[in-house]
Amino acid sequence: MELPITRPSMMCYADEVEFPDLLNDLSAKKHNGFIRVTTSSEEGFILFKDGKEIAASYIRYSRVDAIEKIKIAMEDNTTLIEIFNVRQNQIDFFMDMNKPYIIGSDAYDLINELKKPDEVDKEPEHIPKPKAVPKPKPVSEALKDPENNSKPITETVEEKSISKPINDMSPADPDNESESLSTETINEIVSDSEMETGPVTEIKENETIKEPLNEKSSVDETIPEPVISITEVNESLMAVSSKDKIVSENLNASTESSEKDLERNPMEKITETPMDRSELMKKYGIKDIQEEDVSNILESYKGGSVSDEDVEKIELTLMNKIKKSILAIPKIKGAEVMVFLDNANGLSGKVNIMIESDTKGFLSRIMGDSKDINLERQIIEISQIEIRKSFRKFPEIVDKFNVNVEIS
Amino acid sequence: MTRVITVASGKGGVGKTTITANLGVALATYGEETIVLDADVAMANLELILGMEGKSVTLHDVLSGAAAIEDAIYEGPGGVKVVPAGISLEGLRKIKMDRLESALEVLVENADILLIDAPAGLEKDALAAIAAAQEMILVTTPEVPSISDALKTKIIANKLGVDIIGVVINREQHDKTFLTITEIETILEVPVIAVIPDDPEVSRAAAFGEPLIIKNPKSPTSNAIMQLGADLIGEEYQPIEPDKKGVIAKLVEGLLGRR
Repeated sequence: MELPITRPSMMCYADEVEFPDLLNDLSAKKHNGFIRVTTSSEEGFILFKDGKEIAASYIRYSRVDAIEKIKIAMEDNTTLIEIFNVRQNQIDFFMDMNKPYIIGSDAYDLINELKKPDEVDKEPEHIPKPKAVPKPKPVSEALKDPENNSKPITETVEEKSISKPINDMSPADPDNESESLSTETINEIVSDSEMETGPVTEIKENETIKEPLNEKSSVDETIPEPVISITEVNESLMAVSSKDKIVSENLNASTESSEKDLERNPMEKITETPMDRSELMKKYGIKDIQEEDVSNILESYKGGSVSDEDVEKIELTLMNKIKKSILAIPKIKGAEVMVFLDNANGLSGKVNIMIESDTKGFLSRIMGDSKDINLERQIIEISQIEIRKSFRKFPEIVDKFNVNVEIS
Repeated sequence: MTRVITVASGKGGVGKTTITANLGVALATYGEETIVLDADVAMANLELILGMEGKSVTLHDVLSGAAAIEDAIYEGPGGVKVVPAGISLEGLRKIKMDRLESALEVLVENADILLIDAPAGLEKDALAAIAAAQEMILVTTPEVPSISDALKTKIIANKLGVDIIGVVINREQHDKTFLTITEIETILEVPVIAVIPDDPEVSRAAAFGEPLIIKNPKSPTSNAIMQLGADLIGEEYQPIEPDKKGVIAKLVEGLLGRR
């Protein structure tokens, strides 16, 4: 079947979960998604809509044949079961895509047969299943490690694969039902139904090491967890920490709830009590004006108007600046600059410049005034540049200045 | 000593001019020699609210050097004296805000309280109005943009050495979407000295060119402004309770043509 393989919400091995229980629980929880069973290189899928099995495939088999094959595959302890969540509104789309696999009534007969409790209750009492330990060395190492004993996790040195013990209890045992592996795993699935599970990594069948369980000797063990075998170090560590967190949370359920209350209450108190100024400012996106901005605003206020005393200073400054610039022209022998400012209706001014030029020789007089015109233009430009430089913030003021040049 | 109080807001349209006009009238009714100066030379509205438009000499003329400030003072409603800014834009180009200072010197000599209606924003004319005063009343609505601008104005006023008397929250609607009084006080770090409810009577009064506290002294807004005026000068104010007339009585009154 064509289905979106994303991060599974749960994974475990066939020996850790009863297949009928799994189906029953997914039905009860109205699961939307699919399960994938993998044994060796063979893959099978069952698609669920609102907890009902609607399509099935196993390698090239489909429908009832696929269910049969999956049932057989589930008898192999090494078969990996993964549960994937899919949004309800996507299910119809996947149904369309996998029309050849949509199951009929014959398949439902088989499924119903599978779900029957008498068939499920093969083990009326809770007997923890011993688990295969294909790699004894890492297990022994793990067992030697006191930390690993206290935590039901075995970590191999080479493979960094981690197994978590699961209490394999019969779902028929009403006393233990809530604690049974299958129920708990399904609960976990359902809790993860919003695809918000912690880090779950893919399991490599051969790398998995399962630690045999004895009895429910500790509270840790009563909390079933799916076997997680992690191939990458980082992922494994993340998974371990994540699962440990869950275990500890379950262990200290009451403590946690009280802690949560404690955590919540201060928040409530915070909302009740008035916020401090910075929080309020942040909340409403209000900012104080920076000192620099205040200075700029005040500067514009002060600098925007020119008093009569300032006028004389400006005249003198402009005179000197323009004269200095003009005298920098090589042809200029001498220059006199006079600036007259008018402050009555806004600042305006008149600049009179008298130039004594070297170019005013006999030949140039015969040639005409074209060179004078160029020089005059050059001097006007220089004067305007100086005016603009003097009134940097109001360069447009240059339009209010009349520059006259007289060349002799 | 004359108190020079600028009413500023930062943001425009928060009801600053309405409050200034009515506060001026309120202070005058308490017997204070009050002058209200419309320093919003670009957007002069005070004279419209007080029904004093079309005066021959205005602040425009004073600031452009064409008239003396004494010639621009007019008697307004409730005995308040008013210096209108002049609605005409013709004189705007010629005005020099530097002349405001010398005009104020004259006004101060003739009043107990000089209320200045400052322009919105922080342009030169607004700063001149703020800097001219010793005290300032900040007007804001309980909305974020208004408070943000009020905060800027307050900071600038502090920098200019102006004392902030407090904040007047205008158009309070008891709506949870707006900021609470406590929040406004916390953000602006200034006490709230008056809360003026959102009142359609204000617009009606403006349409008639009458100050609300004269047109409808029993309205919650009038009471709030009268209380503010009393607080400013340390007077006691007994709010005027609105008439508890029945609907029919009001209808009959309306039919008889009473406003």
